[in-house]
Amino acid sequence: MESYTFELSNDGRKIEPLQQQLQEVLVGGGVRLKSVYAINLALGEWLENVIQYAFADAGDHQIRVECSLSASDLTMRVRDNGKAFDPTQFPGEAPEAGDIFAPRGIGLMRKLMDTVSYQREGTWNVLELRKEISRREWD
Amino acid sequence: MATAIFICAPARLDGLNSGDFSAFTTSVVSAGAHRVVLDFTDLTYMSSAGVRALMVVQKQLHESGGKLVVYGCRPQIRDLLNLNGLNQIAPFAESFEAAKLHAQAAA
Repeated sequence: MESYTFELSNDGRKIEPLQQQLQEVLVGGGVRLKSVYAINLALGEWLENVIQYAFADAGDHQIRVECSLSASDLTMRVRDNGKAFDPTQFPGEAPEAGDIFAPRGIGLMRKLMDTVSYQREGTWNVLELRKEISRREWD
Repeated sequence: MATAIFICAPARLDGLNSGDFSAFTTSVVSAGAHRVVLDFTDLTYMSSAGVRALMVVQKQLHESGGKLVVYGCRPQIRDLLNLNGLNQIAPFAESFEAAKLHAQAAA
């Protein structure tokens, strides 16, 4: 089991560098690019959501992403101290194709990952995202 | 034959820039461009915010009797659109010439 921790502030411009770091770790670990893309997209959707909606003030907040990579799966725990929001209670189905303004990010995140679970720990949201992975050398 | 306007998407369309991309593209349509090709050749990452931007321009073109074609779309972006039930949002052209012909054909 390999573990990695990333931190970013609540600034949307910080998402892409974090995704690049995670991609380097996953690709270096032999994870197939299709899985890497899905993982980064799911994480990006959640981080965009946290940064846009979780914090009532304009102050600086840290978001922590803890990743555990095993032979068969990746687990990410994302911690933020914003207002409580449980995405597992949010509808997971894709909105109607013509419904432009329907929210899509949370449903997309749930589709891309195998398991999404949520806990409120004190003043912290803790979202756990897990995805089974395949590695290139096993093809 | 109608003129097709090509608009190049950036490498990412996410919550940071999708609003600007959508505003620019819809302004081009409002200015009279009714055959639009979105060039996704450089686009490697699209979040749900980018999907929404694509839907906005597609709706605007549909309502004005225009036509949208997507060109150079990478497999991961196609997968994303499929996941959102949007695989029919526009014809997907595999080459520049095919995109131009698609866009210039009758809507």
